[in-house]
Amino acid sequence: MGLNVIRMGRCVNEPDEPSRIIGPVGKQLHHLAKDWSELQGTGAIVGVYHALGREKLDVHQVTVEQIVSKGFDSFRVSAMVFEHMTYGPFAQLAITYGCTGPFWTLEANELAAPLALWTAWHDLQKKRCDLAIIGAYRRKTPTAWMLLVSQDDTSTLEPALIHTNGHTHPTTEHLHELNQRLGGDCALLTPTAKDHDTNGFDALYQSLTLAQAGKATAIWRCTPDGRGTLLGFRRRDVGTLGAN
Amino acid sequence: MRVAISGCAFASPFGSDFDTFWQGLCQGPMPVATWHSEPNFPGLGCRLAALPGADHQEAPGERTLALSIDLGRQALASAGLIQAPRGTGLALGSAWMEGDILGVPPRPPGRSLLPAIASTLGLTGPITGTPIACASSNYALAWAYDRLRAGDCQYMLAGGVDVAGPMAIGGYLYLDVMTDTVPRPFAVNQDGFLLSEGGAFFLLEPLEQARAAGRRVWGEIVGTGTGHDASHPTRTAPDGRGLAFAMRRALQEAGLSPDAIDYLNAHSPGTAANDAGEAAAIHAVFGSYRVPVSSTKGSHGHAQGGANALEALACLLALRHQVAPPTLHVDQVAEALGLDVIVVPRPMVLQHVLSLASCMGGANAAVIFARGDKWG
Repeated sequence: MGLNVIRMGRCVNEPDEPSRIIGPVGKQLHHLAKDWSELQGTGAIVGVYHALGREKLDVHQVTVEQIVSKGFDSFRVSAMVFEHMTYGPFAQLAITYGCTGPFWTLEANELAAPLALWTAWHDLQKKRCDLAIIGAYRRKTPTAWMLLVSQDDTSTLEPALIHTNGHTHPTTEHLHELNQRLGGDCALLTPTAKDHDTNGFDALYQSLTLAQAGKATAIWRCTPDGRGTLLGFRRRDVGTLGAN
Repeated sequence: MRVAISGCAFASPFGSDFDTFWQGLCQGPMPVATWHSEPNFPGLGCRLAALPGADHQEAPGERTLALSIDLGRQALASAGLIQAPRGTGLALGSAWMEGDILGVPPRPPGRSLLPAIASTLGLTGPITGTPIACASSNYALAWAYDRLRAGDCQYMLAGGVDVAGPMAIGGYLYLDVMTDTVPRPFAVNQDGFLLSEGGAFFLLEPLEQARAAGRRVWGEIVGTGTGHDASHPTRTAPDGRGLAFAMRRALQEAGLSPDAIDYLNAHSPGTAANDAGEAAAIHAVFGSYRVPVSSTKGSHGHAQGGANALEALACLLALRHQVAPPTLHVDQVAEALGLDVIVVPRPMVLQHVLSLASCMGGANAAVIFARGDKWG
């Protein structure tokens, strides 16, 4: 049983979506999800894992400006939740697509995407949900990212995560431990400047894509204050399954 | 792996003394709620059960930071630790964290809480915030529990805090969910919640590790679950589906049947919008078994993201005293809910207690606690 990456999507700018979908981020998430057949009334229990970073303050700033200029009465009640609370667009997504499984917002800045995926993987292994949506957004860009994953026997992709807090880069020991957990060597992807703008999602996509193609890779994410995670993926050959 | 709570510290409108808090839960009176006016936003205010000595001239984010660091240190100290062991993680449940930045002119964003707390306390393990509104602290406990069970670390500080700020107050005023009198969860005449402040931090670690170190155990977390209503942006689902899902997952994880839950600490803040859905969820999970239920928000008020942390403490103290705390201020229970609502302290054998949390937006989290050996 491994991690099965079913869908990956990224939406840039604000798509034209129905007015019942509130806010630019809500529209982006809806735009990504509406064509994902796995979410359309299949009966699957879907968990939602929102990777949150400092963009929450952009959201709050918009709220502040509206309150100061127009007062609290300028909000619709639903807009209070959907547009102006950190988890709002993902709550809207859950409501729109009937995602009644686990629901998480994990705030961890640059580490948020790896931690959200790790949390989702844990929940999938525990059978707390059948499918997991992992997503993030940036309001200023604006851009939204979403992944849809499952755990099933058609996949041999395995993740492993190491915390590297307090280090300016992953050490040989960290990489050795990661390789041990993955059961083989993996290549560390070099982060690009763009990676730092996405709560880790662009790098996560890159690593997953390569790993699915058979090239074991890891990404290392860090925050300016020294928190760090090393997340790796390796596709096992079917013949090695059960070896551990 | 069994997960122990081996350290605890809290701040509440009752103060930070465990006996005083427990007495307040059981007998009241509830903390004095005074009219609070936001210093930088003329005309904005509400009745508030504030923390003793609170300085509301200070930005909410800075107050939350100072409180979190203080509670983190105290929680470690209560476990006999003068500093965080290497690799200790942090799960912080705060609805607002540093985000309540309303002012005229708008305040600049405050310092990031997570790195500031982590660096001050020397935390180097898994670190995250779970800003999921009024369910934040239960989410933090659930995430910490999972990290320990997954072997990601050996210690987690987990809990949550929130303080009053202008965005919180303005938002709740606009939603018209605050009472002008006292909170009456599950009562026929409930008319809203009382905003309060505070929260609690807990040190979690593997039970065997705590025992080997000679630390007394306040209680165990034996199961957690989360779920979403997928129903409405601001109201609880009428059938309580998300809360029922969360409870079932928590029971499944704990390996318990519903009738093994001796007492249920409900989310109910004192709003009609909550109680029908929460009651439906309880009925869906517990069936014919009438689990004793109370909401301690009737006494300590609604500390937003910190509320569940105070309720976790209420659960631990209930296990300690073998008394289920009541819902204060309830003259007449809303019988239509069909719940066994505790309105006076109820001595009983308590082995497992369940704490529920729901929030605007539809997220729910359930945590099951078991009795520890701290008090023999």
